[in-house]
Amino acid sequence: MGICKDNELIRSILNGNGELYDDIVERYQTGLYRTAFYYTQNVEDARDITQEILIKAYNNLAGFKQGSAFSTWLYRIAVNHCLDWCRKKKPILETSKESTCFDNLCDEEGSPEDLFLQHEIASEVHTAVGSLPTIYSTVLILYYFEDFSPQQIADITDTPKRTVETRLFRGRKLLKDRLHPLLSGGECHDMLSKPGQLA
Amino acid sequence: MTCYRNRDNWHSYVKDSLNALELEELTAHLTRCPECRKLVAGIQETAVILASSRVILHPASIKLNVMIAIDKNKYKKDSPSHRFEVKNWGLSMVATGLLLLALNLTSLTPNFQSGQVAEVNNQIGKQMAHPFDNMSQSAYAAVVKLEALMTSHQK
Repeated sequence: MGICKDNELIRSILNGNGELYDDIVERYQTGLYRTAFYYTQNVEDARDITQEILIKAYNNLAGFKQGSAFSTWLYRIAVNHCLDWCRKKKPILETSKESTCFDNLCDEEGSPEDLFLQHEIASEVHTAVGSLPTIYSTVLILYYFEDFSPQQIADITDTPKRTVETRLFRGRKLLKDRLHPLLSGGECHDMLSKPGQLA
Repeated sequence: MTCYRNRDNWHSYVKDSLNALELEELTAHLTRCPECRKLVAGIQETAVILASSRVILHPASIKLNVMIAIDKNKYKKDSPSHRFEVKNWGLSMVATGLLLLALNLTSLTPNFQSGQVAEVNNQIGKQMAHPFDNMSQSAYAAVVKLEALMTSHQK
């Protein structure tokens, strides 16, 4: 089928070509899975939630407005689904912390020491983001990990853009406070902990 | 933080998602404000460090499970052409109802438009009733014949 834009695919699916949803799943499953994982802190729950999100999106595809961005629409469903999950089922973080998922982080070449450090930082960042209040973790996940702009995050979360900018500042400050003990002295210390850097 | 712009659109600026006017304004501000420059550098550096610690997960079975779970024919049944047909059918019913209502109303107002509508109404009514009259007459004749046959049989 070649490279086809989201909206063209959606139009085709709505015209009866349901098998093309395969392409949509292929495009978004990794990002959605990662997003769900930051909320659940658990691979199995994240996988289940991702599947539920994608099925829910398919069943509600007729409600998608063709003029808007599909990614924003899909992530709105995803974020709401994850927040619902957090309200209902979120387990105690300490018991669900997993490290196996970080094994694949270090694709780049480096010394074992560097790889170990990167692994540790990723694990701590992940835990720190997951432990933040959801209004902050949501904007941080969408901005830093899923690469959405503040305006897109505003559309996804149905929040004014100015509020998103404020939450990004506050969320980053909270994240810095939580990461400080781990990162002091390391590379990240310089990046997240410069005195007076944050508002 | 003393700069009045310290909570402005700096995250949007870093993501390059501002319009030309806003971008120009903030870029000009950055050249003369070390405080905001520091802030923007902080956001950029955080983005780099968090991107490098981004979790990589392999969604092995997600696609398969989703494609099994969904009804791929869901939108075939509800295709635009089908919806159009159903819509037309509904509209036809409504149109017929309105026509019948109009005919009934005009029969109640015989002087409406100098009696022309009533006249047309009568003609249409007669034409519509004609087949039913024929059927009724045929049925009546059949019943009469049947009764005559039965009485002759009894005798």
